[in-house]
Amino acid sequence: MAEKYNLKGEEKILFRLRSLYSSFGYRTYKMSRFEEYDLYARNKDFLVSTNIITFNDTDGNLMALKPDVTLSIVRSVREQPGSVSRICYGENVYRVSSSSGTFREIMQAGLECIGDVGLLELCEVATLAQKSLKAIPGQSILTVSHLGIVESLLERIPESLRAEAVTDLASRNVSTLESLCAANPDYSEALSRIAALAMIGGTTQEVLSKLEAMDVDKKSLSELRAIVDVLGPKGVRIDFSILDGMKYYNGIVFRGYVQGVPVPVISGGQYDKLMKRMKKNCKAIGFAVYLDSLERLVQEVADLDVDVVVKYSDKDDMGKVLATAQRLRDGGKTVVALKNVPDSLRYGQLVEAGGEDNA
Amino acid sequence: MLNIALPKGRLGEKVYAMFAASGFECPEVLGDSRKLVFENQETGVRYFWVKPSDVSVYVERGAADIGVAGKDIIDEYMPDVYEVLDLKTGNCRMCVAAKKGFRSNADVTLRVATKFSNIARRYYASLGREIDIIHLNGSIELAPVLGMSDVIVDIVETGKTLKENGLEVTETIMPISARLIANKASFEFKRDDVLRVIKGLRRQVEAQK
Repeated sequence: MAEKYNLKGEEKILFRLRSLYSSFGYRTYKMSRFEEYDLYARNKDFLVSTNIITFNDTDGNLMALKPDVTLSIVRSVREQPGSVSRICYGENVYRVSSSSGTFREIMQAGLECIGDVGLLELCEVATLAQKSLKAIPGQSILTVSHLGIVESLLERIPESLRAEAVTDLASRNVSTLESLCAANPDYSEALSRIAALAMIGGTTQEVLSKLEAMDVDKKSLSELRAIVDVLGPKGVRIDFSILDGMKYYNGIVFRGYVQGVPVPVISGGQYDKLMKRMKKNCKAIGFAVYLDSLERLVQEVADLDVDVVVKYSDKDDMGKVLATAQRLRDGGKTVVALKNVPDSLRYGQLVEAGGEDNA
Repeated sequence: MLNIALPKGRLGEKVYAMFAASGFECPEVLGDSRKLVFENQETGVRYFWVKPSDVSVYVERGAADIGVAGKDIIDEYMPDVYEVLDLKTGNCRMCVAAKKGFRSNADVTLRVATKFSNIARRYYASLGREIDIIHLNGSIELAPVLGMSDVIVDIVETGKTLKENGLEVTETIMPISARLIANKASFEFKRDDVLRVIKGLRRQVEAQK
C-alpha cells in the first residue's frame, strides 16, 4: 500500500514497519518532542550520544529535545503484574552525528515490549527484528548474542581486567586478548575462552555446539538456543562483540545489518537492568531501527522533476490554463504551470497553453 | 571483491608484502602509476593507498572493507570498527618527551604539544593532571625547543629526532603497532573473505617471530 503514495524510501519502510508491528498487537506511542532533562542526565550511558539540546521551560524546568525514545516509554509504562505492554513508535530524535559533530534530526522507528516478559516475548521481539530487516530492500544479516554467556566468563576474571577484556571482545581484538592471557596466567583459561568468543564462527548450530563445550552459563545458552531456533539458520549469526550498554542490557541482544549500509541499522535487546535503575519491577526487550542510515540505500532519483509543463503567458485565459493542467492531472500526470521554464527543470512533455504540444 | 585501504608509505609497502605473501597479490600496487585503485580479479582484491590517518575513516564508512592502521590512529580517532589482528610491524611507542632535565611542576597547568590530542587528553585525565593542549600537525619537537610547550606527546621509533633536538622520553604511554581493522557490516557480508585474509596474515605474523 505504501508504494501507492509518493513517499520517500525511508518513509515507505516506516510505513511497512508500522503495519508489521501493529499486526503483532503493538500500539503506536506518540510523545511530546520534549522531556525533562533529568531523565536523560540520570541515564546518560544508555544514550547513543550524550550531547542533548536543552532549554528552560516557562516554569524554569530544564527540558531536553528527545535524544531517545525508549527512556520516555519506560517511564510512562504502568506496571501491571502478569501483563505485557507492546508499544511501537516512529519518531524524530535529536542527536549529535558522529561524523559531523553537529546536531541532527534523525528518524527512528522501533518497539518496546515491557512487563511480564518471558521466552515467548523474547522470541517474538527477535523475530520482529528479523522481519524489520526484511522490510528493507537488499540482503540482510541479524547478529545475536546473549550477555549472560559473556558475563559468566567475565565473572571468572578479576574486576581490574574486565574493562580491557570487554573492549577487546567488542572490537574482536583477539591479538590483545591473547597478550592479556599470556600476561595473566592465573586467569588464562577464562581469558582464552573470551578470546575464543571474539572470533567464534560457523553456522548458528555449530556455534551453539562450541559453546556447549565451553562451560558457559547453561540458562543463558538454552535461551540463546531457543531464540536462534525460532529465527532459523538463514541470515542469522551469533556474535559476541555486541557489548555496548552492558550497564543496561542483559540477556539477549542483537544487531541488524543491511548490505550497502556500513553501520548496524537495527540495535536492541533485553534491558531489565535499565528497568531496575528506573525503579520498575518488570522486564523489557526492544529495538530501534535507524532509518536515517537507510537514506542513501533507498533513495530513488526520479528521472523527471515533473511529467508535464503547461507553459502560459499573460495573454492566455487563466481559467483555461488551470483547466488544461487539471485535465492532465486527472489523467494521472504530475503537472506544473509555468510562465518561464528554467533550463534545469527535467520534464517529459511541454504543453503550450495556447494549444501546441512539444515533447 | 574485497576493498583494502593501505597506508601510504613504508609501512604500507611492508604490509602489502604480507598481503601478497598470503595470496592476495596485485603486482600493480607497487608500480609508479598514478592510478588510485588497483584491482586483481583473480585474487579478488582491490587495493588503494590513502593517507595513514584516513585509513580508519575509509573502513568505518565502508568504502574499504578492511584496512591497516597504526594503533595510534585507532586510539586517537576511536573509529567504530573491528580491530581484528595485530600485525606486529611498524612497532614504536607513544611517549611523553621533554627537554633534557625538565622537571614538571604539578602546581601549574602542563602545556602539551601533540598531534594526538585525544590520546594526550585521556592520558593526563587518568593521572588527574590539568593540561593545556596545543594541537600541531607536524614538527612537534619544535614546541618545547621554542618554549611553546613543556612536553610533547608523540610517536617515538628510535628516539633519534628527540636526541638531536635535546629532548628525551619521560614516560611511555603505550606501545604502537600496525593493526588490521575491519568494517562491521563488511565483516558480516564478506565474512569468508575477511577471515581468509586474517588467517593468511596471521600466518605471516607468526612466521616473523
